[in-house]
Amino acid sequence: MKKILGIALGIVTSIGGFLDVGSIATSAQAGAAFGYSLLWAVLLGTICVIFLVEMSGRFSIVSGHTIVDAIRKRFGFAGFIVPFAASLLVNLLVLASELGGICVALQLLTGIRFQVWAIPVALAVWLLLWLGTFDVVEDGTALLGLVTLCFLVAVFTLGPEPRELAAGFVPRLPGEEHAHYLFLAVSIIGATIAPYLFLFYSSGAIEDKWDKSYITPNRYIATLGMSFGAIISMAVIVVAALALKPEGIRVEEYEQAALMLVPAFGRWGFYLFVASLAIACFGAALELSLASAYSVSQAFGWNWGEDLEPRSAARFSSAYTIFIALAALIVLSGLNPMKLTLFSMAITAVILPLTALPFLVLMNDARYMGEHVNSHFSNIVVLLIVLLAAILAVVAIPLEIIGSK
Amino acid sequence: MKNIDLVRDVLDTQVLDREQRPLGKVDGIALELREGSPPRVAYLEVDGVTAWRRLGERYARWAAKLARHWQREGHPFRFTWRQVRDFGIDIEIDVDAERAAPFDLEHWLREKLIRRIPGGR
Amino acid sequence: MSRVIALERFIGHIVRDAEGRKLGHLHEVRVRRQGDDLVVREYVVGSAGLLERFSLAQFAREVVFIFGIGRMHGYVVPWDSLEFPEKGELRCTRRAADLQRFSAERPAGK
Repeated sequence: MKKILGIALGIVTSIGGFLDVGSIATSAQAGAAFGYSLLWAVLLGTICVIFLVEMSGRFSIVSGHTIVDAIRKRFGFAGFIVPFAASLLVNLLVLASELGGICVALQLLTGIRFQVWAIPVALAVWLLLWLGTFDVVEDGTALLGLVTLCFLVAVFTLGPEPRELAAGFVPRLPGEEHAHYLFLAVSIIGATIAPYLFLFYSSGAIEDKWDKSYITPNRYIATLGMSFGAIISMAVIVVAALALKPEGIRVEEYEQAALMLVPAFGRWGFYLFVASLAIACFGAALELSLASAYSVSQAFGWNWGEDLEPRSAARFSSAYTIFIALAALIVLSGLNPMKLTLFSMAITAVILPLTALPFLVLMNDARYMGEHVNSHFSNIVVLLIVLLAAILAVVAIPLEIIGSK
Repeated sequence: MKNIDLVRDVLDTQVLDREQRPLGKVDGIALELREGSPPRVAYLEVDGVTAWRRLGERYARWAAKLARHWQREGHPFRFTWRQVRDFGIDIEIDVDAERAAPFDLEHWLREKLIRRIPGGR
Repeated sequence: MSRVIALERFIGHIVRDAEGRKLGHLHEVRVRRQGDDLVVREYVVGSAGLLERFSLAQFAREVVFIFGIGRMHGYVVPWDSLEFPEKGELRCTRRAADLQRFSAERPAGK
């Protein structure tokens, strides 16, 4: 019975935690500009992340290690340092995007410029980590994150044509704006796969002391949690396609995206969007900060854990404190939050192989996984999607930069 | 287990103290080369500067300059195989982490954190 | 006369045989327990070089190994046949032909 409750909670936290600034921004732009035709990108990213998250849980259960700890041990300090540094840098950009998302939500609500909110928002995120425990952080924000189900409700209200929807799952270049289409595809995949997600999941499995009896529950949580979360992401594309595209509204700023729930909910639609944006980003910001502190602590062998009071884990706590402070500075600098988000997502796709390939090697190493090594099928799926995303990103990013000049 | 692979199973492995608390990683292994006898493991090191030195002397110098702010005596922290109590996924040694040199950074940060920020307890 | 060296700084370094031919990279140091001590039995010198610094090519190679493509070759060097000079490359005092070889489908790791 306890296991079933555990699985249910795991799924719920995955749904609530799936949507973040990356998914919202990329999906909104995709729907407004290209209708349903980028739904396949969410599907592709989700398939990959289901495999990665399941592997991440299975790895921690069987090996007793977290992924970061094991990558250093398997490849040595010199071998792991570059992927490690790269992933921290990308985490920082994404965290700045998440904080930016909360600040923009507040700007939409109050009219006060987003930079002004940078320090109060960063302080709020930091305070919750400083005073809270792992469960409070995880469960609290994930349950609040269920407000994003409003996008799903909106889809049912607006009633898309099923056959047109289905066509969106087949990749096809649009008539024009090829570069932008590819760039968005890559950003969506980057937003969906998000390395910090499966690294965080592995730390969580250790924190919650998952043993071998969790191997099957882990599979359910990974598959169902990520699938349901992906459905919400897709819902954002569909709603944007139905509400914004016919009006010719392009999402260049969050202000335009905020209109997308109005046709379904009237005036309340605006507030639902603002709440969804703020809550989803807040949850992601907490997770990202923790994930980064986990990474650093596990890489250098420090004591770590959210349940530890800051005094007992001073290095761990300082790590997330510094991280949040740096991210706040980026927001303060006034960089366009929407642009920052889209580029960090695309860069995530580029960096993905650096984290995923070593992880894949670990998943096939019998010394860590015993009889639970990966199947060839899992290896091929992850390898193909990760490489595809990286190659597309390397092509699409320069094109996008040239295109927007 | 009679045989041990140093690179695979000892280097970069997590070190725990006698209370199972994380102490650090095995950043270095000192080998004593002897005439007429096989080399023996003299000691193992847990030290950030040692780890960075594996990338190059330049990195070690930079790390040392930074570490001087909080490092007291006892650096680099070394232990011998005799002090190892358990060896598996991690290496458990008969030492108290709170009193060992790798915790200097932890202590230094506690000073700065507790003194300045409420709620750190 | 004994000398203490920092072993971690030599991992991944090139090893040459008595005739100066490149044997490979220092991959592993196998030790056995002798009382409270650990003494070296042999060194494993293999074909890959990830260990010294980050290498995307080497990660790719390990991934390819997973699919059974490619093999790792190397030599086993007894404890009395490897020299750690103060300067220069690691030297094996025997010729490659006199060393025990190994060939593995998967790398020994690190």
